Order: sequence, then structure tokens, then C-alpha cells
Amino acid sequence: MSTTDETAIDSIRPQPLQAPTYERASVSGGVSEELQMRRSLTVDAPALSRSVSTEDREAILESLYEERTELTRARRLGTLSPADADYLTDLNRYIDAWEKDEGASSSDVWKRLEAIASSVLSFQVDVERTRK
Amino acid sequence: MTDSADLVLNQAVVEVQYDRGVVYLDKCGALTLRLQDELGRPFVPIPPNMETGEFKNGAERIAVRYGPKSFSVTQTWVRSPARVEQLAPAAWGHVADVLDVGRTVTRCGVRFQLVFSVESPEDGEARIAESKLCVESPEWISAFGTPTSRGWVCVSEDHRGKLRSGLSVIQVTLEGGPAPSDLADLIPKAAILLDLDHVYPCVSGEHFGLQKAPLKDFIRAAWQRSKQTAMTIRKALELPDPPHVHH
Repeated sequence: MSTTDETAIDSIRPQPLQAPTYERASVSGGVSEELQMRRSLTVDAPALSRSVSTEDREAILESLYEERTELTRARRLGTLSPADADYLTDLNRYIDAWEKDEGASSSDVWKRLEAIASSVLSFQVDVERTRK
Repeated sequence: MTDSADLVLNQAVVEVQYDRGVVYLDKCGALTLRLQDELGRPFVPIPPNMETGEFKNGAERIAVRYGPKSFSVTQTWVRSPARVEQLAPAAWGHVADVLDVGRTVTRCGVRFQLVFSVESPEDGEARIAESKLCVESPEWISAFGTPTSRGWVCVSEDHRGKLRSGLSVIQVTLEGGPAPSDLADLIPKAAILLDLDHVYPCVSGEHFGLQKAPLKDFIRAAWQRSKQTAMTIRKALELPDPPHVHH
């Protein structure tokens, strides 16, 4: 069979499927990255910056509280496994960090306090005017 | 004394790979809506394409990705994977249900990349050398010379599954400005990276089923094992306590 005929046959022959890679690690760029040692880490600072609204913060905490409620209920019933007790410890720490993260909400709280203070002052001014 | 609360994760990743996920092309829209309802605020959906769908949560630095071949949940710069542990099994439940891939899983992995802050890359290399964690043989020295930097990458396996472990020194470079204030204590200038990739026990080459509860148990077991390993490595490297630790 001539080379030309072989080429023609190869061009219509289906290519073999690529074998699945069962050893691929999570989120890696390929085998070479897997076997190499990491040498550097570039952190995109602006991409990590965040602006968390009050609504987002409350939604996150609500979700975390819901998860914690399930676990504390199990603990009260005496059905919490050691692994889940460990998970609850980590969850509590995560919640603490979010509860202390006042960056998103502090400005809102102060705005509300200022609004209340302004209302009180306005009321006092009105009362004084009425008296006069 | 330090405890696991002082650990820092550069990345926590849960990934499930599966076959027969091509139905994603038909159902990515329905799956996106199901995940949107499950994840809620502040997760924001990125319009799905033929290869991936994605939700991003900038507030917590979490990304959820799904597609015809795999599903993953990733969180960066955090002290524990508690939030990933909460979200990943719930989201996987929907992916497995909508795409019907819960019984055609080919691989499930949980990866933790822990960073131990050091003064400089040279300090990190010296600590690894003195710890005897990675020791070159006389035959190696004869063949390649005494190494100036050391690391170790290996794969071990037991009843808990396969574990790929890596230890190396990394230089951290911040681009575009300083670290955000909430991450200033977490992102080091140089670090020793402990990379632990846990693989769910399975028979290589065969499909297996994976449901939410076993996935959650696997994530927790992998983290407990990683914490123990990290504390052992930390002690071997004779790293100082973090500044905020009080005795």
C-alpha cells in the first residue's frame, strides 16, 4: 500500500479517545506543575480587596448561624460526633471573625446613630421654638 | 502554645470529577438557578458557557465552579475550611442531582495549601535543611552536589485514600498594591508551603457514587489529618509562634 493511501486512510480513521487522568490533583495546571515544587506565589492584591455591604454580611451570618444551630442542637441531644464537634469549633471561629468584621457595617451604624441624634436635636429645637 | 487556629490556608479546594456530565449542555441553566437558590447572597452567578458555570463570592473569596467534567469549591486566604465544608456538599448535592453524575464520579479530591510564614526564602530553606524532613543521600550528593534548596513531593496511600504531599519554600509577591487590611496578617512575604491533596478512596478507573454526607465527612477527616500534619511539620521546622499568640 502506498504512503498516499495510508495517509488517506489515517485521515478518516477516528482518533483514539484521550485516557482519563485519574492522578490529576485538584486545580492544577497539568502534570509538570504537579511534580514541580512551588517556588513563587503572586498575589493580585486588588482582586482580593472587597467591599462588603451590610446586606451581604447579614446574609453570610444568617447562613452560618443556621449551620451552627443544627450542630448545637445535635450537641444538646448528645448526638454530635467528634468530627462534627471539631467542625463546630472551626465554624464558631469563622463566625467570630465575621461578627468582629465591622468594616462593612460600622459606617451604617454610625449613620443611623447620627440620624437619630439629628432627629433628637431637631425635636429639641422645635420644642424650644414652640415655647417661645 | 499554638494550636490549629493559627494555621493559614492559601487555598482550600474541594473538587469532584465525573463522567457522563455532558448533560450539563442541556441543564446548565436549571443547575445555575438551583445553585443560586442554595448558595444565596453574596454569591453572584457568572453567565455559564458551554464549558463552565461559576458563582463568585468576593466577600468571602469563594468560587464555585461546575461543568460537564468537574465541580469545585475554592476559598483563598482563610484559617480553616469550615465554610467550604458547609457549602461544598450542599452544592454538590444539586450538581449530582441535576446532571445525574452522583454515581459516575471518577475522582474526589480535597486540597489544602497551608503557609508557614518565614523571614525570607533563605530562612525557609535553612529551616527545611535543619529539620531533616528532606534529607539527600550521599549518593544524591555524589550525583548532583549538595542542594541549596530542598523540597519533597510524594504520594502515599492507606485506607483513608491517597495523599499527595508537597513541602517547599515560596516567595510571595503582591501585585497592584498592599494586601487588603483583613488579610495583612495572613499573607506572608515568604513562606514554607505545605501542600496536601487528599484523594477519596476508590478503585482507580472505576466509577463510584458520592453523596453529600460522605463528602462532608471526607472534607472534615482530610482537614483533621492536615491539621495534625501541619502541627508536626511546624514543630519540626521550629517555627516561632505567631505574634498574636499569648502564653
